[in-house]
Amino acid sequence: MMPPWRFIIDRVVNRFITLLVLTIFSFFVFEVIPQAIGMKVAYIFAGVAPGSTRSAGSASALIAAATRTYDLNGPIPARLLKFIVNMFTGNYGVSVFFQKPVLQVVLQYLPNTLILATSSLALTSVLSIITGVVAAKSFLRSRRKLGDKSVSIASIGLYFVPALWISIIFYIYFADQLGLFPINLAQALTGLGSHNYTGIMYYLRYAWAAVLPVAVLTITGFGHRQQLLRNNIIEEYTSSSHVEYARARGLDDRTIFYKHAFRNAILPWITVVGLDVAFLIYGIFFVEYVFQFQGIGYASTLAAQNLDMPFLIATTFMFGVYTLIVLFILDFVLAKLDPRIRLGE
Amino acid sequence: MERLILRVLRRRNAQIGLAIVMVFVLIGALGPYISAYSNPYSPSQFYAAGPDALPSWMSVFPGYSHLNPNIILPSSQVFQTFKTPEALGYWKVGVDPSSRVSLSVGYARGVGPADVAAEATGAYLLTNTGNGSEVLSVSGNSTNPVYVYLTHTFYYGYSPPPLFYSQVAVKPVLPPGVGFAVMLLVNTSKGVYYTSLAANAAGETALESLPSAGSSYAAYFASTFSQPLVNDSWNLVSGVTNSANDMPLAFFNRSVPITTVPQTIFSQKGYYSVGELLVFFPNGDFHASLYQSDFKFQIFGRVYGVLGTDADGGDVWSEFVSGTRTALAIGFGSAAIALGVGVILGLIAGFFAGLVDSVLVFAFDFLLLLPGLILLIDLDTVFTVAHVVTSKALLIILLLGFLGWAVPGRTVRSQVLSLRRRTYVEAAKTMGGGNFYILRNHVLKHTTGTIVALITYLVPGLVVADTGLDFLGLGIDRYPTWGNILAKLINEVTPSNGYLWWITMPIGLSIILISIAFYLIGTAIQEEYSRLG
Repeated sequence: MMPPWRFIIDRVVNRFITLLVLTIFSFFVFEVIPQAIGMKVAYIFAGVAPGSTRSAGSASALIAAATRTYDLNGPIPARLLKFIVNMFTGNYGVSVFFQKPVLQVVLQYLPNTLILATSSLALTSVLSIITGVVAAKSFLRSRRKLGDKSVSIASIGLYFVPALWISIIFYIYFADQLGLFPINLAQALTGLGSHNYTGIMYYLRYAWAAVLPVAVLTITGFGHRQQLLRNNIIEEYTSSSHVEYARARGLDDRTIFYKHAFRNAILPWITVVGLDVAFLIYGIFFVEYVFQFQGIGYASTLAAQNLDMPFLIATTFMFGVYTLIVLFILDFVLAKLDPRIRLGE
Repeated sequence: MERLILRVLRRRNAQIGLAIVMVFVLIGALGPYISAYSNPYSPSQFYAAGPDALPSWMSVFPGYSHLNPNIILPSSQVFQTFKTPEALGYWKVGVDPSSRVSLSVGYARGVGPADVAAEATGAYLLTNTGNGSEVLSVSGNSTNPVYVYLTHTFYYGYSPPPLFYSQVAVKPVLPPGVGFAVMLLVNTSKGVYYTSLAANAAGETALESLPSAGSSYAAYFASTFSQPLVNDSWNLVSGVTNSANDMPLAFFNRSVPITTVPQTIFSQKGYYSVGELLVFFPNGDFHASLYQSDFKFQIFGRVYGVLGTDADGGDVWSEFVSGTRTALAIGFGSAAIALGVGVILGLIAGFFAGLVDSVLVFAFDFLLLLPGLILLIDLDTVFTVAHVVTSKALLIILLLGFLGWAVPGRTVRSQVLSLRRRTYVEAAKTMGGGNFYILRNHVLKHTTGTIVALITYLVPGLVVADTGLDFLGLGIDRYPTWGNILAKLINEVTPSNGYLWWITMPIGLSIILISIAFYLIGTAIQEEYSRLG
């Protein structure tokens, strides 16, 4: 049996090692392997394309500066150490594509992503709880189970629909053809440069632009959680021993359903929500790109298309940190909720 | 194992799933035989029909029957290229009666446009190097221009078309000093419209000195696109109404924007003539002959093929078939790699506990916890710039495969862990069975079901991953894959060009169908497997 603090320290060490390995891994992927196969890494870090229109003098100055900054000709162990220190101290360098410090770019684009992520997460959670309970109740109480069938078919069907494709359909139909929504965030906020909305109008127009991205993330995100909750409630309600016991004690059905079946069924659901929070960013990439909603996924795509190495290195690290922190919190929350995990069983 | 396969195949779910997968595999395998164009993204295969044309079966519906299909005159390529003497009869030939010259029309079996050179601008361009051409000989004595015309009349019964193209390859054999011009035209009830025009140096001078339209001719011949005809050699004369450079109408009728020219010409239903006007500018006694071939007019369709066209007039069915081929190749190829690596490492981790297991479990978890899409984008970017692998498709297969083995690895490991405690494995060990023997004969045999189920789990995910990568412009380029088709669509969609459902729906439904098919097969395998125990 493990004491609780041992469990936490164990997980912290484990996650930290993973992060360190990720950092070493990306050092090799971005610097060592390209150099080993004969790429001129300094050119890329300096943002100088081989056929660049820059004058030869300024290009070679940029390349020299990049070589110095990233110590590209130094011994590998020293460079690796410097790379790791840079990553962990938030020293990410200057983005080649955005021509600004990477951290500044990330902070500029992050709010849009956070808004999409949190609102869609809240919506999917609420939606999956409500539809999960409705479906489970319908399965347990109704004779023809119509409610359960329709909700389950919808959520299983939507599970197979790729977010990328549904984004495109929504974009073409609702934004482009019917004109019900703006074709991008900039159009919503500035009316293609002709307006400068402020105050409540600004927020309203922002919300207007966010409707379609959030709708796509919600539609494609709630299905598997809904099914999980439904299945768990039904299993708890029909076959778990503590529900049997509660029934034997003569508790009323409503209390049994919510206090016993639902409460236990929500635990695996929380795990999945946690995993979704950790990996939500992937759906957001495509949604931001299609709706031109300037978030971190949109910025990363532009950076990748334009070979912005410093930006890609930094975002790889930051997404790693984010994922690991979310997973750590998830460990902690689950350990709090379920003593079996804490006790290492 | 055979029993498992038979029992799985007897299930309705698995049958439906397999049928769907087989349809897609067939489309992919038969790709080149069932599609007309190998790569509709290369400019030489643009404009199979007009841009954003609907599928041709849409004209069955009353609301769409007014949309014209591709109309090509002459309709057979044998006639266009004068591969048979009957092609001469397609055209009604005449000479201006006032010019008092003699005209003879013949078939030159041994002469063909062997050296005609043209930039490949679209699928409509016709160049053939085979023998066979029409020869027109004009002789007489005149100092006035001599007009010879060829026409063909047809009925046009649709709403105005989007694009019009005309071309002819000519080889003039003229005595020195004789001017010559060739003009392709459409004769309508409202007048004659010239759609292609070229002249030799003397002919250009003669046309430019005409009192009425001389300045328009001067403007047209001054454009760099217009090259004078070369005597005794093959010249391609062509004009298409999406390019103002080579379209004489853009110079002659400046009040009409070039894009609306086809609508101006074919503004109503009725009889139209397409044809050619040859103008000779002799100075006394002369004998000139003209060889011609590759003679064709095309009215581009608003409906085309099985799935219509995209914004460049590329054949969407060919794009879809190419995309299916690539998607399946990448899905199955990378799944094979992921599965191969994952199964081997999973077997090793599960069977040899201890340090090996700990290291491998860390590797599985590491790959699962990594920001997968970001890493995929990173590696893809780095290795693309580095040109490590010549084919981008192969690079994506390798990347997806080597990033995707964590799930199969972990699944196989846990399977092996539970098998290790089974009595028959213990028994085999006691009887002195080697590690490799036990792995092969007991462990691998009993994990086969899991492995097959893993394929069905992996393939759809990998197909979607590749589609996403292509869509973001980070995957295969200049080739129609599902992701690229969607990316091109989203870049070119405008409020006016419609919902383009014939491009979005086949791809979306294919992804959904493939996912469902593999899901059905996978669940059937798992259910039968757990029943067998």
